[in-house]
Amino acid sequence: MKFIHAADIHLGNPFIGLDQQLPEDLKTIVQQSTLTAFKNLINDAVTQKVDFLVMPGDLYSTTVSSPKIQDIVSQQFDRLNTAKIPVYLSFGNHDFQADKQQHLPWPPNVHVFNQTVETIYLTLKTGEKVALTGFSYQTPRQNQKVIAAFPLKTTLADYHIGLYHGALGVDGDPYAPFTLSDMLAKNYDYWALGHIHVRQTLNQTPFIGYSGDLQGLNRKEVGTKGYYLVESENHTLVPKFRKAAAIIWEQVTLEDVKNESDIISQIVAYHVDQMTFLSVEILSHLDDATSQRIASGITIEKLRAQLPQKLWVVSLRIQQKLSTMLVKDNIDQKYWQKAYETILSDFNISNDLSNQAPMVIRDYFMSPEGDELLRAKMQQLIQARRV
Amino acid sequence: MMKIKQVVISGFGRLSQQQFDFTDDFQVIVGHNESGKSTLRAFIVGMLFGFPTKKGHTNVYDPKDGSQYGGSLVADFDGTVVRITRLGRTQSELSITYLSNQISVVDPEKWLSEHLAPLTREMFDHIFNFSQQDLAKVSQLKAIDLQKLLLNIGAVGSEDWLEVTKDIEKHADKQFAQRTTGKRPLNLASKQYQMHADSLATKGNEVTAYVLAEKQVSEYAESLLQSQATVQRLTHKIQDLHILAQQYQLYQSALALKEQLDINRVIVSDADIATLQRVAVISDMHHEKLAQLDEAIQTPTKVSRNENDDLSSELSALQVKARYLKNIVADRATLLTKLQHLQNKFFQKQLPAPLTADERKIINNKDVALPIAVVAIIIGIIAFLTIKPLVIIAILMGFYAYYLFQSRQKQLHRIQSRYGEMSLLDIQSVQGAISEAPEQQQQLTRLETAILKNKDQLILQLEPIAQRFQVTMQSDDFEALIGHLNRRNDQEQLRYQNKTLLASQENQQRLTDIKQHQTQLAQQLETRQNILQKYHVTNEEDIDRLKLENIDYLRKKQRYDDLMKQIDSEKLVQLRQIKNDNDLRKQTLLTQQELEKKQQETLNIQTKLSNLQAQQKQRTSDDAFLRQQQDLADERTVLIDQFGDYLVEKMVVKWINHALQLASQNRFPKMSKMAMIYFEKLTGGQYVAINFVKEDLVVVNQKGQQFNVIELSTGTQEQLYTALRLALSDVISDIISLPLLIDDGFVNFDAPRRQIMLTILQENAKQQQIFYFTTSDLHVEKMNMIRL
Repeated sequence: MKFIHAADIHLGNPFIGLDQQLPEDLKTIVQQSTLTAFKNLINDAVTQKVDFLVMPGDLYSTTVSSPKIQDIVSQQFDRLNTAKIPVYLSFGNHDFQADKQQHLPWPPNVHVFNQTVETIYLTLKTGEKVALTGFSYQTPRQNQKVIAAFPLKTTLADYHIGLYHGALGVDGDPYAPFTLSDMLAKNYDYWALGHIHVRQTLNQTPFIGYSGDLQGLNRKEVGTKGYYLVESENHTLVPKFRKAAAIIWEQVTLEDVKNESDIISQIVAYHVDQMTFLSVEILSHLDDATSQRIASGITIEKLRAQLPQKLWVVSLRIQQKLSTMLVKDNIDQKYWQKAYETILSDFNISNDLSNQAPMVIRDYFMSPEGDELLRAKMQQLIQARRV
Repeated sequence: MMKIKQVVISGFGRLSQQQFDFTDDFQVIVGHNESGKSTLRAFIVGMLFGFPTKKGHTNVYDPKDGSQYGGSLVADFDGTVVRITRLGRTQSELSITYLSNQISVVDPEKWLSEHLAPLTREMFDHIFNFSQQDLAKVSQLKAIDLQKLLLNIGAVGSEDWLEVTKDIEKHADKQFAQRTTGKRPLNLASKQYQMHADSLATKGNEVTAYVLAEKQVSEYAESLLQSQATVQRLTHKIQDLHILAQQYQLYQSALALKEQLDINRVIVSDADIATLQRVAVISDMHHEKLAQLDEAIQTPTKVSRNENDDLSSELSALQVKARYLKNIVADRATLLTKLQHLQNKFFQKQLPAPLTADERKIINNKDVALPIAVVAIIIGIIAFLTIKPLVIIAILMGFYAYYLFQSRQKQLHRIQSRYGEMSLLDIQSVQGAISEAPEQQQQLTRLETAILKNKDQLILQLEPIAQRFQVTMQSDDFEALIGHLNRRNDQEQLRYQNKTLLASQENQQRLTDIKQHQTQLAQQLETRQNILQKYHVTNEEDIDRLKLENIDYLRKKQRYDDLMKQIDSEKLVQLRQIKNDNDLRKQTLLTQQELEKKQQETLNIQTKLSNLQAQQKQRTSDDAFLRQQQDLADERTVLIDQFGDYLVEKMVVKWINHALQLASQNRFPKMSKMAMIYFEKLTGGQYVAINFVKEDLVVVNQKGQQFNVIELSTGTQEQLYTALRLALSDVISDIISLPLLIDDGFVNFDAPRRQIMLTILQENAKQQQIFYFTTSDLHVEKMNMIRL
């Protein structure tokens, strides 16, 4: 008994947070990265001769797809079909409509879960019987505790596996909220979770956990990414992580750098084994000229020209602390602090950024990440312009 | 709070050597035009902030009568009364003396600026000092200026910050306009982004197109297969038709030939001809044989008998004779052998004489010498032991024994030498033979004579017989010869008998042969007759004639068969149904047309299919979607960055302003509130609100109507301005309060409003000293009035 648990494949998902300076060859790798990771996964499935694959949601990145993606999905699933490896697929909050829209017919080995919870039975070559229970999203939100509709472990099979795209939470949360005890109560042998991109184990035995996404999609999704190869050890299903990502995102903080050449040499010496996208934050205090060069992008441009082949620096930022600001100013610090808090709490995107700006941009600045960016940049600007 | 107590002018413009003492509250200074009202006002400002330095367009108030430029001013700074003296215009000298103790201030410039802080001359002019001309400028008044004014009073250095905000805001506004018609970089970038996003969204439709096309591809592929199959079928059909056409030609020729052929013609078979020829040959042979046999029977063979006498009896007689001869020859040989043998014992010498009787005795007597010798020895020994003399007897006996022995040996030796040293035993044995020898010699002679006689006789008789059997008589072995002759005789006899038997057998055979040949001949003739009958002819010549005729027929027949062989048997059915060439050609043509049509169709489908496949290939290999998507994501990143900058600039402007406002204790809103109260009072409740909208001042009347400053009457404009001035000075009074200098301000006010104005001023003057310069002394209490 051997199967693959691969979630959040996000085929065709663009990388978020890259500027337009990426060299052409890297661009191609980036564009193909989710597809490459998917192909790696299928290759492994075939060479490992697994019994089946479970994909609990977000195979596609959006409801919009492309012929190439269709072609690759069709081709790769066909390969599995040839190798007689069935695929159990449920859709998540990103690809909820995937099956309703035009797509190439699924090969006979692909089973797509209904929108209502359903159980499928499978008999392995060894004669062992496996029950798989899952469901597909019908909208980008799934506010109900779908877990409640999952049946208890069946006696008709040797193993019972749950496919669940969702997040821990309470009824009303947007992504099929569940609690650990909900799942444990079902008495299944394995819960293949999807939705959370960080690989994590919620329960060891029986295993309940996220395999994480197959390919990191932005600078926050750091480290090796891939899938779980699950094998039965004395009737316990034990997952082992396998790499599949084409590109690795990483984050590094420099705490002891003196000047620009120091920054560059430290980053250039950063050790990588495979194509790595690096976000760099600097904590050291630097002189104004260096800070200015970093802020204006001169340093990163210089740095990028010297990078080894497998390394790309996505961003280079100086981390600043508000408390260190404007100490010598004529105006009392309390006024700055109070004004800062007031204007940020009064911040309202529709007042400050008219609908002439694209919706995604306005949305972004309403998100915590956008807020964080605003704060950082405000601090930088006021620091730069202080009188 | 500062109040001006007294002014002493040494020389300043038209005023010189004059002293004015002022009240602490509402000081009215009345004078006609040119009386020096503005000069006095300028002197007060000059005393506080320094005299004007620049010549040219500005009035520097040089004294007209040559008095020393400058003067002094006594002021009460919250209880500290000082005299401020400034003398000299170009290099004006400032001194400040405490009136209480007449001590001069060490650094009067610093002291003064500290006490006037945060006011500058400019700010003083903007708040505390105004004339009719200033009031007229109300339409140019901007909120920001007022705000700045207030901020600068509330927080030192605000002006720089305000410059920064101005700069940042300007930069931000260059990037993006909030309005829909904006054409600034970020507006354009946003539009472009939206366009790209829309274009990407439409890309989503490509999947539909792709999936549909993929279905179409498989449909086309299937119809292509069908079409290709049809083409193949038609091609085969045409090939068949071509073959059929060829075969039709053959078939036609074959038919033509067939008509020429006589179906009933009997064909002379080669086998039959050959049979006839064989029959002829065999018949001839039989005839010849018969003739030979007949002849042989009429001349039988004769066997001669004359040479064939039987010699057997003669030979048997001769045999007896020969046997006799042989016997005597054998006898002779035996004798000869015996004699020879005897002779040999004496080595070919003459035979010795036979032994005499004595000699025989000697030989037969045994030797007695030895036993005597033995007895002698025994006696000798015994005697030696017993009676010694007796030994002599013994010795004597010994001597005798020796003598006996010697004599016998001599005799024996003699005999032996005669017999050639034979042993005694042999000598004794040959004695008989020696005695018989002479008689045997005689017998031998007789025998030899008889042999010669018989031999001659035999030869004589045998010779003729040997000659007859052609046997040479070499050997003397007559017996063998006779045996041989006998056998020859027997053979001869046998041969003769055989010959005779053979002859009769041959004859018998010949008769049988004749019979057989006759039978066979009859058979041959019957065969011939059968064949001739088969062809309805009487002889071989007719057959030959028929044969000649056949050759032509056969040639045609062969050709016909050849033709027919080339035609497929299954085609024959089809061929028989074809009416004529044209029919076939028409059919071929039609099929050809159909084929071409179908080929074209196939080609069309193929083209469509490959086009579609190429399109599909392009769809799947082209990364357009992924590329555009990534590009859009990157564009978004850049936009976020740029909009981030923009927003941050906007936010920082707010931040700075807010911080300054906080630092300035919110004076601006307070001021605007106060101004409103003044304005409402001044206009008799006509206007209820002052709004600062961006750059413009807007007032709202009781009816809620809004007016820009420019839309107001001159008087109302001036009232608004005055209200703002009063409010400004009020709102900063916690920081600084200087006397208000109003120069002929209310000329455009109507009487009631002027009255209200004056009432307000008088009321305010209880707190703040007010200098009111006017041309008219109407409505003013005299006690507070100075006339120039």
